Amino acid sequence: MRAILKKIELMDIVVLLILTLMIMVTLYPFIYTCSISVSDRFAVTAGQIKLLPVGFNLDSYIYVFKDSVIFRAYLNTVIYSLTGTILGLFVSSLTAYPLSFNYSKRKIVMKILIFTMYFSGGMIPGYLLIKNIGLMDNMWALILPGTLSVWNVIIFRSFFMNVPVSMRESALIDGANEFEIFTDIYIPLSKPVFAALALFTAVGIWNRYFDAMLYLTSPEKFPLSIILRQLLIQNQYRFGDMIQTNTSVNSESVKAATIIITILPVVCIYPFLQKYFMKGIMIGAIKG
Amino acid sequence: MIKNREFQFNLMVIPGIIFVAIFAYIPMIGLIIAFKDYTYASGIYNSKWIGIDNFITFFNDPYFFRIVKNTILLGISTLIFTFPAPLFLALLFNELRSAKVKKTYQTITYLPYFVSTVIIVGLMKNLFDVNGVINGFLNIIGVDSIVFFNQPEWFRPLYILSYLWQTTGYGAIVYLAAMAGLDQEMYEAAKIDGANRIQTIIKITLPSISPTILVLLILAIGGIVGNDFERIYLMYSPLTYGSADVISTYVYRSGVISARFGYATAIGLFNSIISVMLLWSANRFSKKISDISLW
Repeated sequence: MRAILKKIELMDIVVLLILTLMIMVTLYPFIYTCSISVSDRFAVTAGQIKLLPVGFNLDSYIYVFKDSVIFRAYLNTVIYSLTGTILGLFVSSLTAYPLSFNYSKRKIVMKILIFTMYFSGGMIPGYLLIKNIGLMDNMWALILPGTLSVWNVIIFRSFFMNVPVSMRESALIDGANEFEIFTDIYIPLSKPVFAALALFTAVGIWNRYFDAMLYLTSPEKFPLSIILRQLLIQNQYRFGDMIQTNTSVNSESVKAATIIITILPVVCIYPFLQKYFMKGIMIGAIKG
Repeated sequence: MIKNREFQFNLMVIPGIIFVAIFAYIPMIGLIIAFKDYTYASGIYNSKWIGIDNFITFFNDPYFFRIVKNTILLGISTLIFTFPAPLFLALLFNELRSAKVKKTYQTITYLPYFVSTVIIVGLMKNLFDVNGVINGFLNIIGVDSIVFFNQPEWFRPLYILSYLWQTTGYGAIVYLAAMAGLDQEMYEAAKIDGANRIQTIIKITLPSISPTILVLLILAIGGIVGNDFERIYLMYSPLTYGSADVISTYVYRSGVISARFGYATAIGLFNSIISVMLLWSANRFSKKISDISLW
């Protein structure tokens, strides 16, 4: 055990200062946005909010939850993320399983998969493909292309290869087939990996916007990212009648509230999965 | 028994192979339209073969020089600022005494990575707005307000800033993992020899993780011309095309908006080839000067 030095050096202070400064800069926009979302409407318009809220009310949030477009978009985002994550992790882990053993086609399958990491058709052929197979304006256009993530396959494979062979062997002796071994032994043992990859996959889909913009045309299918883009970047969002009649919200605080509700689920979950995905990154980085 | 096992394995990889075949390999075959005068109506087979005409048109395009210049400038300036940042952050974290502070701070620094680019850019647009907080601060110190997002000269700094904000914390994780795996005995020996902390960093930590640094550098160089399309797309506007319009955004406008599919694909292919060449050169150079390379 390394001896813990009690003496505090100048270096410690400098390091702590610099890091604290970075933390503050990183956090500031989020705190600022949060403050705007709960502040008094007039203070917001007058530009009085610099860091902390002025006044306090949750009217912006009530407005946001009542807005059918935003509500629908939120629902869509949840559906897309859940579906994409479950499907993606299932396919990736299933594919990784045979590659962890003495499978006759292991090398060639690995080559096929890894090649796609270095070379791809690009934006236009991808776009034309979706068009040609009739997936335009369809939620599956967002999910299917990314379902098999080679990166995830590699990570699953690394993990599977570390599972003690004896477990598999005794199961085989008991007469189990590969599918049973996969579901009854390997999947339960891989919970940390599933947790970490589930986080990344879900967040990836949750935040995705370009694919949605490219392929979805029906407003009722839009995920939150499209709505956010309309709100924040294009300033084009048509607020319903409510905003004229509702005197305690304005467009700025509603924008802020929408941002907060979008990032809240992610912000709440990711710290808890930290230790899992740190391991995942380590495996990925070393193997990659 | 063995035959049965192989069959089951085959079944298990089939879904993955199908996905990759459809969504990765078919588009690769679709690259062929770079050499054709492709129209949606005729499809791939019936479109006329025009060889490298699309590429020649591209080289003669009035915007060719602008977008290539912007792509390279953006790629290189991004690399210069965003490559060292995660390393610097990791080194700082490594020097922290308190594990609790380290963990808390770390968790905060990679928060922006989990926030979508739409929101990150949206937040920046808000802060840097003409009436926003940044301009408010500038006014206090006597500087006139700047309409940041409309000025071409501000595009690159803002782009790099948003990139740094979003990815530095997350990027530091890999370096921290590498540092955590280092042999502590080296540090003990250095301390006995009287090295101060900065010397320790320069002479021990950095050289020990140089394989990691080099590998990431090679990958980063390969990605110079890649440019984060989503980010640029969200941050640019016709007003800033002068410095913001890059190859990938031009491909998007030519292909998806103007439907010049063959042309846009040709440009994209050109970009990919440059990227592979860069990757290959960086890898070769790294092999020459050290033992480290990707392949």
